[in-house]
Amino acid sequence: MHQQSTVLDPNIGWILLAIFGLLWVALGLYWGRKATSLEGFMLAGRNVGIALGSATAMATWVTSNTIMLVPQFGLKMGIWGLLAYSTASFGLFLFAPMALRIRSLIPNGYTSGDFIRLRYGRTAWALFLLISFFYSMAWLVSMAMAGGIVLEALSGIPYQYGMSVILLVCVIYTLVGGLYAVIGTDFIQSMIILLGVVIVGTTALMNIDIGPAYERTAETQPALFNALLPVALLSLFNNMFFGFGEVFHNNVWWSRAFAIRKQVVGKAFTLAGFLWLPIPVAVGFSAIFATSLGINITDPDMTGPLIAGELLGSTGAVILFVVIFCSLGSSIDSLLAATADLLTEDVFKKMFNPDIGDNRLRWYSKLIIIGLGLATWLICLPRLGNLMTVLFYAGPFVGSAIWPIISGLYWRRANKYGAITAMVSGSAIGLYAYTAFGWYTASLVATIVSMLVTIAFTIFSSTRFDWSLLNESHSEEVS
Amino acid sequence: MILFPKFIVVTLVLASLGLTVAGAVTLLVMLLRDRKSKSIW
Repeated sequence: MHQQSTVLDPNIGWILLAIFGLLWVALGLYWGRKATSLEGFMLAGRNVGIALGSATAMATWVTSNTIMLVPQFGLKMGIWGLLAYSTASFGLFLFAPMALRIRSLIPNGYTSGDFIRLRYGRTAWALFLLISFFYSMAWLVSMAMAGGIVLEALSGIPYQYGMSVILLVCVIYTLVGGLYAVIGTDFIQSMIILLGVVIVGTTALMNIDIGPAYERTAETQPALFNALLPVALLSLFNNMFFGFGEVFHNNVWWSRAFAIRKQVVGKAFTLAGFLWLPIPVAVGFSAIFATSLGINITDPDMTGPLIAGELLGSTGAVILFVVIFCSLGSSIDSLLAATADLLTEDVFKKMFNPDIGDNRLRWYSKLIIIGLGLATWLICLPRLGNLMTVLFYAGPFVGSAIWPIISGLYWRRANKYGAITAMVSGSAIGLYAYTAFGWYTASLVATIVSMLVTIAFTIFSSTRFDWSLLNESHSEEVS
Repeated sequence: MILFPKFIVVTLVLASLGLTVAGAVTLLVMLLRDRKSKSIW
């Protein structure tokens, strides 16, 4: 059993950081040559094929949490814990037809904010931007912090250095290559993630005599195989709705819907869902049998690394380090690009500089990426532990945005009053549920409230929205 | 307490690993097809 404080030598950690950091920057420079226009920089020319499109959607959704938190879910909640985590992929499946509709209704759109502004007007737009920016920043900060914490735990690289290097690398290649660099690196990162998961999972399976291990675990920890574990079942629905809210509203996914070629956009998101679906079980099943493997988990936060280190020695630790670095990079770059797009297009251009030209806008977009990276770095630097919990508070906000998005895309009767009331009441009651009942109810409650409000407003609405109003050319200004 | 039967647990684990492998292979095949038809980007 490993008793050392880290599973990887710090020097090896630094070498891996340097190799992969330089690789991503070099690839960013290479692909960045294609980004000669604003549309190229922000949306990779709107012509991304199915392979790169599927990979980027999948890799962005595989965060360091997927690799580090899933084994803990397995350890504490057993089979249902892993299945609950897998339901986050349903967001990708359901977004597939929506992405196709988005491309048809808003052929010249740039961001999710464009849709809300054109569909529901400026008040709903401002509210939506607030929710979306709060969530994106919370996610970005939590990813950068998680990067520093995980690299320190795995290899002993000090938190401030690890966090700074990951953030710097992502800022550089996003800055030079825009969405071309993000999507290109995402493909390589997704292949490394899938390969790493298969190697660690297969090795675990070969080391576990699963028949006797099942009997032993069922006898000593039957709750891990309990088919009716109420908390796990609640967390399943909560996780599923959180996933819906996140995917449906966040510009990370909308920017991909605009970037992937229209003919394959639906297939790309469906394939991404299938790629993501098995990962939590493949990553986390070994944690259920940790006791049978003779692994003593002294620190639940280190469940994954301890198991990988025990089964594969230093090779396992290297694989896990690389997989986590890739999962962090693929999420941080996407968040940087998509959040910068939201600030550039919705706030900088549409709110304050409607007449600005594309070339100048592209220049400001780069400044915004640098500013965003700098702000994230400054927030993360003091390593305030309670910042991580901010992301959990975002659950009700994103849950409340699900129905305004769905109804806005499909129902002519949906209107701005319903959308605004749904987002405000869903967020407020969801937050109350968070504090009164627990995190595992917040998104669920927010989504249900938002749904009831949206349906009620839609039933009694006299609005009949004209879909052609969504087809706005980029140079047009909005009244 | 109703427990997941052993065969379901085993099937889940094998299916998840199999699907992950299939996913990686599918991505590579798609990339080759996109490259052949010059439609990667």
